[in-house]
Amino acid sequence: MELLLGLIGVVAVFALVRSFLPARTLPAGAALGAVAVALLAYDYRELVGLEFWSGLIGFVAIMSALMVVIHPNPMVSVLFLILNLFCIALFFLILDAQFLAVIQVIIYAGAIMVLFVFVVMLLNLKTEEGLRLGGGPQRSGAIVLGAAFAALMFYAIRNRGEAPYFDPGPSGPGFGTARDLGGLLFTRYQFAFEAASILLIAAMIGAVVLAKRKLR
Amino acid sequence: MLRLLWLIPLLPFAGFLLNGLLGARYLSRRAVALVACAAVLASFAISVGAVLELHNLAPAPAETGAGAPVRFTQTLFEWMPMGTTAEGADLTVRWGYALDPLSAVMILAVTGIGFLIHVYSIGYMEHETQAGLARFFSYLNLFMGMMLTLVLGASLPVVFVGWEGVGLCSYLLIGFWYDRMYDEKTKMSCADAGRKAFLANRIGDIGFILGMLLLVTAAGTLDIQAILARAGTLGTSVCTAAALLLFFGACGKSAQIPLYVWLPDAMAGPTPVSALIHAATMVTAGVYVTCRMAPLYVQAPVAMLTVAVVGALTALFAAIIGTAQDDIKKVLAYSTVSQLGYMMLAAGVGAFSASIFHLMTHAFFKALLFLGAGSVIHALSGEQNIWRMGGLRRHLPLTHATFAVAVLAITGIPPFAGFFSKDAILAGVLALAGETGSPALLALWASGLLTAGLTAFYMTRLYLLVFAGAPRMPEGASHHLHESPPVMTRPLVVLAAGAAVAGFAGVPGFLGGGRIPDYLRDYLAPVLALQHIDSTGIGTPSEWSAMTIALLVSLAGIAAAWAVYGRRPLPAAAAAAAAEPRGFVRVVKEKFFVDETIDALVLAPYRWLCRASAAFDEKVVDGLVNAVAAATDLASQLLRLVQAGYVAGYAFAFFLGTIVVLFFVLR
Amino acid sequence: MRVEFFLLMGALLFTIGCVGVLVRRNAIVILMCIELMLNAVNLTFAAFAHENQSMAGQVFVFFVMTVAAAEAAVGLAIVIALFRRRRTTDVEDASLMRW
Repeated sequence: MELLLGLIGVVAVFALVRSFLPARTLPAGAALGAVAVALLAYDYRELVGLEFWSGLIGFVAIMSALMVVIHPNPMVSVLFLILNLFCIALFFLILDAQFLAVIQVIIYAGAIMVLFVFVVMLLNLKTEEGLRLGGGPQRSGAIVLGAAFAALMFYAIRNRGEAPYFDPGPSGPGFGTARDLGGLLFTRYQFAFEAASILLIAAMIGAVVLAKRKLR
Repeated sequence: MLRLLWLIPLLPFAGFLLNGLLGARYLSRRAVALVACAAVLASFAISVGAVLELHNLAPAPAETGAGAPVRFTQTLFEWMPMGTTAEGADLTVRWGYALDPLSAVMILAVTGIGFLIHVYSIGYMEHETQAGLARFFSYLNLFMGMMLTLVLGASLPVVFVGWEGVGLCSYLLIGFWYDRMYDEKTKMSCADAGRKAFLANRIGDIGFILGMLLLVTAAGTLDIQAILARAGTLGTSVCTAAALLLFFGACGKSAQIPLYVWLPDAMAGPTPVSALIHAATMVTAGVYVTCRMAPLYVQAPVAMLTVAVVGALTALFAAIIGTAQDDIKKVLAYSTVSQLGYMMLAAGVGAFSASIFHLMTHAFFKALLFLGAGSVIHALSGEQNIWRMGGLRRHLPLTHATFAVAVLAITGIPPFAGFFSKDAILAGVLALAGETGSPALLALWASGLLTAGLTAFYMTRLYLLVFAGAPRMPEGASHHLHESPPVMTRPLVVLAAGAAVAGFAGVPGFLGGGRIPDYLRDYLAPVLALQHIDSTGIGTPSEWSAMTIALLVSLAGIAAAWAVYGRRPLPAAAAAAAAEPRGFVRVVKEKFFVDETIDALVLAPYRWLCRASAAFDEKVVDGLVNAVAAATDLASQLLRLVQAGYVAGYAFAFFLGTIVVLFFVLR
Repeated sequence: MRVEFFLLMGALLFTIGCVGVLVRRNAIVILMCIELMLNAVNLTFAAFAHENQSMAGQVFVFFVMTVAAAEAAVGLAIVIALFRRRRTTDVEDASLMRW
């Protein structure tokens, strides 16, 4: 119930804010709006529960994902993706995956996205000529497929059978800490850990070779 | 020597293999000829030795129709081991040869005359290439081997192997010059003529095979002597059916109505082939088998009557056609058909030994006639139309002499061979007519007489137009005009001697007042003991008058021919009638349009069926296959659009597939 | 908050990422959408990890991140190499492997 109210409230605020800001400042406006709401909510965090925050973060995540896909300018897409990654990191926090949240921000948003930004700037990509896609039917087809997929997922998730309730309260002690994660990594998943390191070396070499200007 | 019986058919086979495999390249021309002739000569020598030994095996058959037949059987191997029937009859077919007086006569005639013809061919085919020569002689040897297998075979399948083999060789030899056009009017090539012969023979073979099957079902065996021993117990209907079926096969081989049509066109082959195959040996195979199965026929009077009627009709019909033919070889071909009809007539009335007698004498003079014709054709560089010949007796003396002997023999002038043999047949017919008092048989005798007259007529016509009178040759033909080389003329002389004296082997009893024995009849009596014609049965005066009547008819035929064609200069009417025949003459000349009728009635629907089948095969069957291929093509064209190289399209497909799979997993 | 919320969220983000891959023409944006999909998967794993109180889910997230990093690096290198040839990152122009 609160979730619904929260979502409606946020949509209203967003629409209001957007209607007053010109399109160019849309990303900044959205970010500002989100920050403003966050600050407000922090001050009044006892007033609203975890559901509200989850709903808000979810809303922002979905909106930013949509902007990634829809916006013609690749640079803007990158920035919205970063926003999305932040939201995911927040979700990780809610889910008692603290280490992962930090890793997400440092590695994913901090390194990989920076790489994207560098490449976009290197290639000096301008705005795509509209979202002219490979045929109008393909766009509609993709959207239809997406809707079908989403419906399928919803249906599957709804009918999971049992209904365990998630309580974001107490997890086990040390759940989600670096120690717990590291403990597993170096014992049970040792091999995968080592393999991942080899994978990274291969990727590094591959990237260097592929992006070289001339192969001598 | 009897133990070497198996060599008699084998030596020509060896010659066939040698010449066939090596003759084209590795042997010289002389070697090829030597191999072929030596093989046949060796067979002849062994045959003579074997016959003599056979004669010494048994007491001299002095009485007619008495004593067990003298027979020597040699089994080589078990060919088709087929176990026994439920009644205990042994179905196993063995490959064996049997020599008895009947086959003795045959092998002597076949190998002897065959050898002479081989020698003659050396000269006749001298213009052939090395490869062609080798091919010719190997085919000739193959034929000899097959014919001897046929004659000596002790069981019906062995005979049938030879039967088919000679049919095959006749196809190979008739179509020897396979790329030559034979008849410009009907566009028939020599290969077509060979095919026609083979097919006509094959149609007859259906009868032979069915006869064999009927006999093995009824008698439980395919061994000839075993069948004949049981002939009395088989029942009339079975015997009649089997006899008629075998006779149908004989019609194909021995050119009786309705399967005679291949013989005139078989003249497309080289003349020695015509002499060997279509005068002396292959065409007599039908007569031989009929006489061999005589005990079977005797059990079936209906079949015998059919044989006699067909034989007489064929004789008359062919003789009529022969009077109007212009090609020297065609005349002789129809003459052969006619004489074969005589032989069948004799067999049909039960005078089997007379049939074999006529077979023997006919072999002599018909081969002589063909070889003489070959000599003429050779001298005239290929001319075969008798209206473009004439007066050749000055240029080809030896050929002329031997040809004259043969003409006298065939027309039945004593003391040459044909007189005795033809008279034996006519006497046999008359005797049966007297015995049974049947008017039909009397009619058969009359038709036989008429045929004799016509035979005399057309043979004399042939002789006069070719050898007598003024020359009518066109310019180009005369430059090669000289007598044939000795390698060709010496066989002619030998055959002429045979045609002259062979008749004395079968002098009928009444002529010599009982002092001169009928050698042939006595020799064959144990084998053909069921011949119930006793020519002394009707009494001597009727025999004398019958003989005189026959002689007079022959002389009348000769006189008539002389009247028309013997005058000089040749009456313009005769020449004009030949050049532009009208009315009945035209019908006769066009052989009563038999070939055209068969073509329209039988072959045209068959060809239509072939065309329809071909169209069906093309449109429907091929169409189906092509449609499958086209469908595959279409499918692949459509499928190829999937691989457009358009990556987003690929991703689309992935996504779609994932959704579908998930749908089925999660439901 | 039921865990279904996070699962739904993950599904939705994944769907958006898929549609983005199919719809966009810029190769780099497509790569970003792929990153989006990977993040959705991470979210789902973390949710299950919390539901079942098992760290294995988080280990998986760890590895997914590693692989995502490697893949992004190599993918971008390829795009750069392609761009040098064709001066465009439009994937519709890279349709040479066709029949």
